[in-house]
Amino acid sequence: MPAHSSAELLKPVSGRFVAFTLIAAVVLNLLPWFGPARLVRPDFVVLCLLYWSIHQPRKVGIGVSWLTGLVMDAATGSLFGAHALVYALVIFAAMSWRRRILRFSLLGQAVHILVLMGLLDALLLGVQATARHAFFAGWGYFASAATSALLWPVLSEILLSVQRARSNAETA
Amino acid sequence: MESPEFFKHGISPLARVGIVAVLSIALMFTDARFSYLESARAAASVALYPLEQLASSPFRAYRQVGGFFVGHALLERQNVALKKELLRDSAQLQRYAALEAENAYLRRLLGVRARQQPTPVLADIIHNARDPFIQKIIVDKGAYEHIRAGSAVIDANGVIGQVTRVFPLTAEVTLLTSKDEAVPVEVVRNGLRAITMGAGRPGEVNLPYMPVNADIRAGDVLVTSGIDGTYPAGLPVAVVGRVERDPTYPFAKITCISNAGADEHTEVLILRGLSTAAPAHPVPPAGGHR
Repeated sequence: MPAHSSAELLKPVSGRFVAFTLIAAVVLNLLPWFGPARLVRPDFVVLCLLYWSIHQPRKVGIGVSWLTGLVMDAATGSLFGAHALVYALVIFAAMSWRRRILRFSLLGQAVHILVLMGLLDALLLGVQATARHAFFAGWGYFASAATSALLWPVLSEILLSVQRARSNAETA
Repeated sequence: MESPEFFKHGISPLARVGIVAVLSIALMFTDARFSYLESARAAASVALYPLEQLASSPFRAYRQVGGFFVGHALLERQNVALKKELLRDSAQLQRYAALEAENAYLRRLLGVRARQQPTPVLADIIHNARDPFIQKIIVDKGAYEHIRAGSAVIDANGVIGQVTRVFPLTAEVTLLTSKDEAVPVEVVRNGLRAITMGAGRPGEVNLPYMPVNADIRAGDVLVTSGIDGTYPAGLPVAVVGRVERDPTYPFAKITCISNAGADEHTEVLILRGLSTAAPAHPVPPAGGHR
């Protein structure tokens, strides 16, 4: 069953709300994680970008993703443009896949997100490895993709319910 | 044929990806080769500072509130233990002070320049990167606290790394386990000097270019030798973990376990004011061209 029925018409979301969720995602990404938990640390920013680019591709696309990637580059102290490039590529993949993804239930979508997050991690590793001396440090590195995918249904449910509430409030 | 207004979405996604890919690669190249982007990075770090503070505020609040609600018995036990530790340490400290005075006196006698004493600054780790291969942390003290690039960063167990970029309010610390980070060390047991190179993995450093017959054993303690002028001498760095000697190779393969656990701590000490020891670039002698 698709995540939301096609009979349901949701109002286009406001740009301010999208910006708010993106800033919240950046704050979540800036949380310091310590110890072995670092391996399963999800990328909230990419999850949020994926959600908006799949549900509202007119609002959030490659340009916004690229700029958000630049912010993450500045925040993590990595090479300027590394996250930006990878974010743009993954969002491009998601956007060309969005009609397929939207036909699945939230769990089915999560499988697609797992693939996309795996692609993200692999690209990020590749870019950093060519630019500097990063290298493959074990399969544990890809564990974060699974956490991100598991968070997808939760995030979708939250953002969809907010959108529904706003649509209902405006029609009522 | 003109397409109707409704179908006009600007340039196609593929073209957009192409444009941003070229832009990103240009940016990465510029960032890797030149330092034009440092001011942009500093500006971004200032802009991100409130967000970073917001992100770490729950933890700080938890620590403060959690500190308020500890039991009386626990405090008493800790107090007794700390008093014992203080007594033991103060005895050692007195010996240390005497030794330091004696050392300074002997150095004066020998005409050797006195060792500089760095002033430590306590800093909170406010951010560490999501990718395990970015061996960097961001701390909440920057240029306003007179932190300079190159200052050594330590924790209770030893050296963590070095400040590599200073922003107005924050600073970036590259961990000694980072692939391009080297620390001059000496073996405590026999004074053998070496240089550790980060392995790129958390908590692991290598000792490259040590001859096969070098006198190094598993369990040897490595401390900073202080000859680089960046790290003060005598700080613990790592413990030798595994030594592989293969006679077919000129060098032994030595893996060490770093003492500093930047993954476990939330606070570090930045040792500032120790970067005047050596000129940054060696000046070539006059009339160098022959």
